[in-house]
Amino acid sequence: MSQSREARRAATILVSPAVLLLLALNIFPIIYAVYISLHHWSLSSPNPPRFAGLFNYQELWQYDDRFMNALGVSAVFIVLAVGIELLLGFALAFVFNAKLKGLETLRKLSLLPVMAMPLVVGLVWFYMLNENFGVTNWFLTLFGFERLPFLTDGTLAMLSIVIADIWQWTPFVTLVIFAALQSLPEYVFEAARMDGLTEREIFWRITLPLLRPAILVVCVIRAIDAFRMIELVFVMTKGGPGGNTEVLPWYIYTKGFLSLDLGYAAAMAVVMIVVVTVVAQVFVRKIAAPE
Amino acid sequence: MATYSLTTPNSIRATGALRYLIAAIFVGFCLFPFYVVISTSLKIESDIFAWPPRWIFRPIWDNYEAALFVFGGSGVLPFLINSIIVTCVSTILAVGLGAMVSYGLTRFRVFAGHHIFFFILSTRFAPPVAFVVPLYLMLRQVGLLDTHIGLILIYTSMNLSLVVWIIRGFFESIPIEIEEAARIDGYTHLQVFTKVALPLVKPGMITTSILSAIMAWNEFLIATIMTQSNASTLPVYLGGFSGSMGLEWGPYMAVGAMAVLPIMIFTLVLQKHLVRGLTFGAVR
Amino acid sequence: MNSAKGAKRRKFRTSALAATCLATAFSAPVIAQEESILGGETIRIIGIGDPVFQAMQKFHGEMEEMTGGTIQLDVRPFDVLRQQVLLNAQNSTSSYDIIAVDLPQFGEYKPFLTDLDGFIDATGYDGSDFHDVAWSGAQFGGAQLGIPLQPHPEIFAYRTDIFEKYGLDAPTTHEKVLAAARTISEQEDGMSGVCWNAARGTALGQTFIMDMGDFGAAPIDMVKEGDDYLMGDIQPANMKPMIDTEAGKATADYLQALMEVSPPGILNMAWDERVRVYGQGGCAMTYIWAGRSAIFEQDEASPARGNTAYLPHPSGPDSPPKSTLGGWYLAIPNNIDPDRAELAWKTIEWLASPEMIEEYTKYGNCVSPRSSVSKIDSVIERCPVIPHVEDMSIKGELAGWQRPPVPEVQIIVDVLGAEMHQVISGEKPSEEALSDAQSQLDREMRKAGYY
Repeated sequence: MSQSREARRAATILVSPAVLLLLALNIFPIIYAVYISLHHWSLSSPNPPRFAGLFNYQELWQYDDRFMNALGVSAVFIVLAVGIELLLGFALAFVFNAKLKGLETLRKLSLLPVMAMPLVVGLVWFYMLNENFGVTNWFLTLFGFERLPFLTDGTLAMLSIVIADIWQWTPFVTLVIFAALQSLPEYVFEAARMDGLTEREIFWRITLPLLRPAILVVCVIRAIDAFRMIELVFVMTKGGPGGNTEVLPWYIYTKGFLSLDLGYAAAMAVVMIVVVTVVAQVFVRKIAAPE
Repeated sequence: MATYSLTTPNSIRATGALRYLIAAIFVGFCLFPFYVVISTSLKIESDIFAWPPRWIFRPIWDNYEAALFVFGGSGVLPFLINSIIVTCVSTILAVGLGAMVSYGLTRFRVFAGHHIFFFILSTRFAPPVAFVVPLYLMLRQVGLLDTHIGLILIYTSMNLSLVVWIIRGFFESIPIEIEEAARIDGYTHLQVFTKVALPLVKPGMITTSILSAIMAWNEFLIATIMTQSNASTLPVYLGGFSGSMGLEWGPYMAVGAMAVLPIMIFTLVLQKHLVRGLTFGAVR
Repeated sequence: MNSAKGAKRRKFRTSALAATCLATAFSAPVIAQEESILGGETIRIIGIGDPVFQAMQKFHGEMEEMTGGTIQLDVRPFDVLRQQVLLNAQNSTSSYDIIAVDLPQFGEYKPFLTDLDGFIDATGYDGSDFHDVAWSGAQFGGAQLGIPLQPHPEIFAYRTDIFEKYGLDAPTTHEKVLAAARTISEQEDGMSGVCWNAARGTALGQTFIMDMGDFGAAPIDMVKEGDDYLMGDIQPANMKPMIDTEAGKATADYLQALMEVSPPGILNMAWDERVRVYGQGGCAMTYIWAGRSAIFEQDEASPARGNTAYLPHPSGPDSPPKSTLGGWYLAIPNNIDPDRAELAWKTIEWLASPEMIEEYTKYGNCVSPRSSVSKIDSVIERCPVIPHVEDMSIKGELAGWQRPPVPEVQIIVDVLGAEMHQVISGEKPSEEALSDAQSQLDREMRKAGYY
């Protein structure tokens, strides 16, 4: 079946604007970023950009402890935040999965954090975790604990950011797993029960395997989003204390737009794009492919 | 974790109370920070810094007045207006272009159509911080720094993947016969799209509009770098004070409340489509 | 100081003072009737959350009435301001008419600032009322790039009542600071020794190089003459970082010693907060930008009000006291729409006029760059720190070389602000941090092509 001329024209009109826009603002920037990264390109220097070869990349791998630290901090943040969100979200999905009066309303209310402006999320947690007047410390003292320096101690500062992230995204994980649970075919469970499987066996051998795709999806999406998180660090810690919360996006931002060393920031951006692209390609092709 | 079950009413009854308890605690945890934002925005300075925290206080509106007209120099109002402009225009563009490309790719055979689809989807993963360096220099080149247009273009491209993935499902569910009938009535392909298909996917368009609008409204990093003053949005204004909030928590939280409250309402409206919108439609 | 020139200047000052008095006497009612400065236009200013701009915010409405136009004033913290100014310089047309420039930033900003000499000549603007150091601080390559608005030094404040109570020596040296701080931290309930800028980033980075100045050392290899370094002609060879040095080590040791006598939350403390904690009685001493003393001097509830004495930066062994001069100037970006440049200049003239400088002191800005204003009794009463600063200025205790006006000064500050935070939070030995900072900066300077 060949398409008529008019159909082809219509298709071109419909498809090309979006594709052109994405070529200009998505593909070209990647190429351009590589180009910039091969230069000494500083906005604060009066000199024009000059070619530097692989200087910036070499600097990155050989000398820059802060870059290595940032990679590590990002990894820790992703593992902690996404790990806890998955565990909590998973458990809560089962809690909500019952036809009980009012439970549905509670579940809907729990979704409110998901769409809140990340900057405000950082702001309110920054306020609540304040060592001197924060309400978190008030709760701690209520239960007889000492006040904690949430934002100035290295380990606690990381934990603080993780908490804020968990607050925003656990409801999302719950929602996804819950939706997946609801869509499981009932007859499978009936058959399993008739076969005499215990509830525990049903969970491990039927429910969990059936939920696997949903868990994978949410895991990958959360991991990639956690990798790009910058607002919480921007508001709550600025990467401190002593670099303990300096995630990669924050380091790129400070190099690029506080020190204005665009060449160097571009080199890190290229590294980041490579990492994300590999994960995203695998994900889009394998997991999100339409059935 | 033996509390799960789909079908056994007995176990539901047995664990019902526990479910309510856990759910209630969780919801409390989710809502408490919103309460903090709102209550702090209504407190006077001495109540804000009080130890122990004051749960009962006399609410005042002064912080909102300060936030709108005074705080940070000239107040949040100009930024609020910029936010509204950028959000509205970029949403209309993203939904419009997104609907066009989804329809084009579902109804016509396009060269490398499958690849175009996956390419559009994968842009959802583009980390903004990595694109911000080249985008900044590109906008500088064409003189679009600190303009509404510059921000609008970037936000439109960022939201396209979201729009395409949601709307495609809606187009697929339109019975092809309806469109064929319209063709027989003498409609051109483009007329079928605008006069028949689009009206049928209105619910999908509304959903994606809200979702893209929220994304544009919330975006901080790109806005803070691409704009200095003329086109700066509300998050830029908010982020402009971090690290120096010393005493100004009242007006600061008032701005936070203005930024978050409209979104809360939309989230409740949206929640049915949230899963699909945020997971690439991989979970429905 | 050449005494003949000094005498001439003084004479000049008196006549300027007389002229100003006359001017104020007649101009007050005139201002409103005269052709207004803005004439219905909008002027766009980006400033900093420092006393003078905070003061402007407090009587913003009146200012708009006085000028007959709209004043769009964006007040932002240090890092945000710098970022906005540098990014704004890349725009084809500036989004601001007037920008605030910190004294050491002129080196970095000079490629994109308007040379004000054209306006100064055309309008016969008289800069002689400004302090010499302040006025000449904005001159580069013979061009006047900014008009002083709030130039002031970072000095040291301490509580006289507490020092008397324990019979302590005035904290003029590091040794005396630490000794007094230990006594007070141990014996005075709820009070710590010293408040200072220890927050990661710009705050701590600046602390480090200013304290290095207490040991008579500059962060780069400049030429020394007497107690001071020459700033007029900094050559590429002078750009070699001098961090991993004896002075650098001594500075790191001093900061670590300070940590033991600092209040809780010190690792996040910066700018206003240290002054506020001092003002509330949280510490007995504080490093302070002079102009911010209004935070407690103009707060009737503060125990520090009227109980504070001011000193230059306490010095290290065998070094003279040196306080870093810094603070804010008004400048015009050179990518400004040419039609707006004159409006910008007229506004700057007005914002830095004696009447306005005096007005700011009423709203918590304890800085006067104009000799005529510094002599007004009501000003001194509101701001006891002003005569102290005049005094330091005369004694030659103010200097700018601690933060050399080179384009890389912010990089130096950033690197030190990150490395030293690891030292004071106990995560890295100071030797290692110093050598890391040294080699990072060395690479930066090479990259910039200095050597």
